[in-house]
Amino acid sequence: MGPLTDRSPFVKPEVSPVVAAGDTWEGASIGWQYELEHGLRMKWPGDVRSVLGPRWVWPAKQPSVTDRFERAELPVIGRVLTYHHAGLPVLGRTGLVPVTVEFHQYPTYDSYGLPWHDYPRVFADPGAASKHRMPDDALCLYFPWDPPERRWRYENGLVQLFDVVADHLHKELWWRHTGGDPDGEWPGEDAEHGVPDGSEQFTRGGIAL
Amino acid sequence: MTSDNDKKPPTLNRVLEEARRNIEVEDDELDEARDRRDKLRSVLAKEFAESTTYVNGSVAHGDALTPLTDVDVGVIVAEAIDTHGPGKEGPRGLMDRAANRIREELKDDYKRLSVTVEGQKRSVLVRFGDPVTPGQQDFTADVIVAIENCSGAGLFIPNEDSWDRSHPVGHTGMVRTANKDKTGYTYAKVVRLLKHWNRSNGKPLCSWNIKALALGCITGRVTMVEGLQTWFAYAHAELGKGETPDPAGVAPEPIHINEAMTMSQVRDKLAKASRQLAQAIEYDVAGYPALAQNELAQMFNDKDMLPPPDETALLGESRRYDNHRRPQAPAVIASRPAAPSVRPWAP
Repeated sequence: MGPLTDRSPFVKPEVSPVVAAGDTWEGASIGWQYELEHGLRMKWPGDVRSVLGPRWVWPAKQPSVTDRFERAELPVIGRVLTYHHAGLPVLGRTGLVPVTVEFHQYPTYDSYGLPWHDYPRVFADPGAASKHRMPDDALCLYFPWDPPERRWRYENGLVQLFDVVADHLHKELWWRHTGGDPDGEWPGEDAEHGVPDGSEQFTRGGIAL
Repeated sequence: MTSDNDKKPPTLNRVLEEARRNIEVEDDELDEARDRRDKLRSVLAKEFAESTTYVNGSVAHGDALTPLTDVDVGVIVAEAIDTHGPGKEGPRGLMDRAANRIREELKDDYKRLSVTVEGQKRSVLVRFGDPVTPGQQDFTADVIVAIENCSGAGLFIPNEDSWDRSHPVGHTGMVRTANKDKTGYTYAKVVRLLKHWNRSNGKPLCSWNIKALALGCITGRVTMVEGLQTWFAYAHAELGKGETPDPAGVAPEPIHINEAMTMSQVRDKLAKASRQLAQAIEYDVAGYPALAQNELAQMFNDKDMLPPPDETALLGESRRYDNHRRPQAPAVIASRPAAPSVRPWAP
């Protein structure tokens, strides 16, 4: 099966979904979440809640000949683990900023070859101008081709991810304050936009079932 | 050598004093409330001869906030000592007498006066139909008819058709002692700030719970920062053991937290406020007063009471802080990788 697309999570599909055979997902396990959330309650008491929910995903293209016979054009139930931070303090901002972090079982976005657990979707300040955002408004927090110590990974935990997000939002604020696009100042180091040469093999979106 | 922790925050106490003044009840509000309370006391004294009246609540305790919306007053009915109480007559007859007399005596002064007994658990509810603070809907009084407890400390106060043990007179005495004799009235000042924080953060605790906890930890003269820091830490620890017992040791039930919340949620709110305050102190001591005020404004969550700093000053200071901030602290958990130094990007 080719890449998956996320048409609309709010519209009930007209056909019954297919649950992939043997569809277990680490993200749904308490042990995995426990590791991810370590220290979260201590740093953000009562501020973060999580929801594990289903999400409809569709094949973007016709499946292979073999797949077409069995599950042509049927949506699949994937799961999304979502963390909502009720209000993250951001340096230089007077108000607290709600933040959403999504871990997708079957990402419908390009994860640039990184596993789903190292490349969550992070949303904050919807629609705000920024130098580093995805087309769907997700924050582009780190360069996927950087070495592991320069990226957020599952092992870092959510506490550090929220720190990275707060820092990103502070820098967005300064970038807008200094003129925004195209000449605003982005304080600190950032990566050049675009996919590096020779990295095409990583640009395949989603996860093949 | 002094560490950052030894330094006093230069800005925060001033900001907190200004915030406290913004919520402090005005003298004319207080005078009017006391006048109405004293009228009620004299009505109760007329109805129940040779009885004692008492005052309770925020006006009596010296920690009233503006807008002032209610007052508490009680009467210890001398004539009922043998006829009423647990195992004897319930409070309803005495409450009806108090209500009727209040209506009769005060109807000419307050044309929209309304006095309710029906459906009231503990007190006769007096609605004056005339607010003390302009812009408020009304001003009310809770009037308690109590009887002396001959076999123990405190009083019996109504609980629907029966009686509960309580010690409102003792409570007022304890608060007044804390204010006047022990803390130079800094107890009441800190309590005012805490009551306002409580109001603007989902009201996890009732006012009396805040004061009862403060009796256990604000025991000397404190600055506002010291008082808040001490109270949040103490309240978080004490509520970890369970609900707060009556400081007078009389009421059989502890003081209940907001019934819509779990204890864990209440303690989370206290922990969050504690963290915000600690962060504000750290900013202030390090020379970032706008960042400190901003943190405090977020904690109190009420721009009218404690406004955030000027946005341009805040942003400038935040860049200065970001440029000079210390290297990332070690990861929360030793086994975790160090916080990543990321490079933002876009496809």
